[in-house]
Amino acid sequence: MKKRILIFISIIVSAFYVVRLYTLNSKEHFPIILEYDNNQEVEFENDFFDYSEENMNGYSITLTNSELMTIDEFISNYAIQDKEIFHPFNYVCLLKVNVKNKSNKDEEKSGLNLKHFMLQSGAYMTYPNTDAFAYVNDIDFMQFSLRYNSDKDFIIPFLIYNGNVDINTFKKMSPQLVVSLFPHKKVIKI
Amino acid sequence: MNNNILKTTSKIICIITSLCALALSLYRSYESISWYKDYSHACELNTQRNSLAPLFSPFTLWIGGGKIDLLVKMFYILLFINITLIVIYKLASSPKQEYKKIFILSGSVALFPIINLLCLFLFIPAIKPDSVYDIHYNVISTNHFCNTFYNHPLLYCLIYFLAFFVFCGLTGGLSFLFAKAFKNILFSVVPVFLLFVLFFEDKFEIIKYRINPITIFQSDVTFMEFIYSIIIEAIIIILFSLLLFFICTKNKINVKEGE
Repeated sequence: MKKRILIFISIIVSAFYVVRLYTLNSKEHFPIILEYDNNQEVEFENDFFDYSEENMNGYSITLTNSELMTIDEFISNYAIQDKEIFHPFNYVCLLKVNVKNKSNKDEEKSGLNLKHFMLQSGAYMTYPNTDAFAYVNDIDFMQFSLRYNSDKDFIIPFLIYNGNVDINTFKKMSPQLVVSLFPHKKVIKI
Repeated sequence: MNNNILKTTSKIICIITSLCALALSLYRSYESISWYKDYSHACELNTQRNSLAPLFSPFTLWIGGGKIDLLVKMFYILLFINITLIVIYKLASSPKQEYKKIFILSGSVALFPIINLLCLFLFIPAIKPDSVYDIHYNVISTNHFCNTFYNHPLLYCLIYFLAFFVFCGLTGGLSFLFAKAFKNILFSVVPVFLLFVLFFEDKFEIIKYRINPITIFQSDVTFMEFIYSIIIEAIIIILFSLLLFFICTKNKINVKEGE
């Protein structure tokens, strides 16, 4: 009899636990992740990385091309003299993006900071390299605003070090470009 | 020492340490839930900043989730003390004990951190950790099972619980074999006593932080980081247990079915 009562109580407690888990996890507490494909235009709307003052509203970004190459190929392709600055990196992931200012007329208090962008692949994540950015884009700043109704192409370089991630694991874990974190985490699949 | 006194004393201390461990576990649950509630409230008031929601998840706020403070240290010390007390109590109750039973009973101390995690699941949404905030979790791409942490965090915790269960079981088993081989129940304190000597060793930080299981098991993150230390130690315990097993067999002490 005691055993039956115990089993009955266990079933009731387990049922209560499952119901509670279900109700708690079905509410809107979870970060919203929006995934986009290559060549798909992503509008920033009111999304940002850390603070809303970043103001990327009215801008959009499109990933047009992605390329993974060894650091030696990168150095020879861009005729870089100072090779030491890319030590000890082994690979470069170059992401060609098109940034548009579609509707933001407040050019002074808005814009993008490409330093916030991230390359994420499973547990690995990295930020763009500022030195490499200067070489591939011929500009040495990553924060900018565009004139209303204009657009510009950029290449965002992410350097990868073998000691941090195995390149095969990196490719296998479906890498993605993170373009905003909050309220929506927007990622573009590479 | 009289077995009855030993039995009663170990039982009372075991109950006290278990209750203390349970109280610490529940207190950490209460603290974590309060942190989550306060943070959610602050985020509701200020939608102009990233709420960093994945940082406030049961997988990161549970007692072995990475935040190591005095409470966590005390909690794990109590669990290791409990292993010895369980062995002393069982041997004092009846010398006819099986290694298998002692292994399972000692390993059951791994239930205490599980209780903490289960409590958190009732109050905090099970948000997956996100590697873009990896600096806050201390789990980076070079750590073992890092992809499991970000993709299947529950599995990550389960690996930890399983390893903790096995390690506690092996430690309890070794305590049992010590008592059997030296024909004295009090010898069962030797393995855990040695662990505590290493834990309170201040001269060599490498021993305290990279080798001592009491420190390594204080969080799933440190466990994964020093998983090879734990595997090597488990192998050493198994080899030592086999040696004691051999001594017991040679002295005609039956540890399989009881003396």
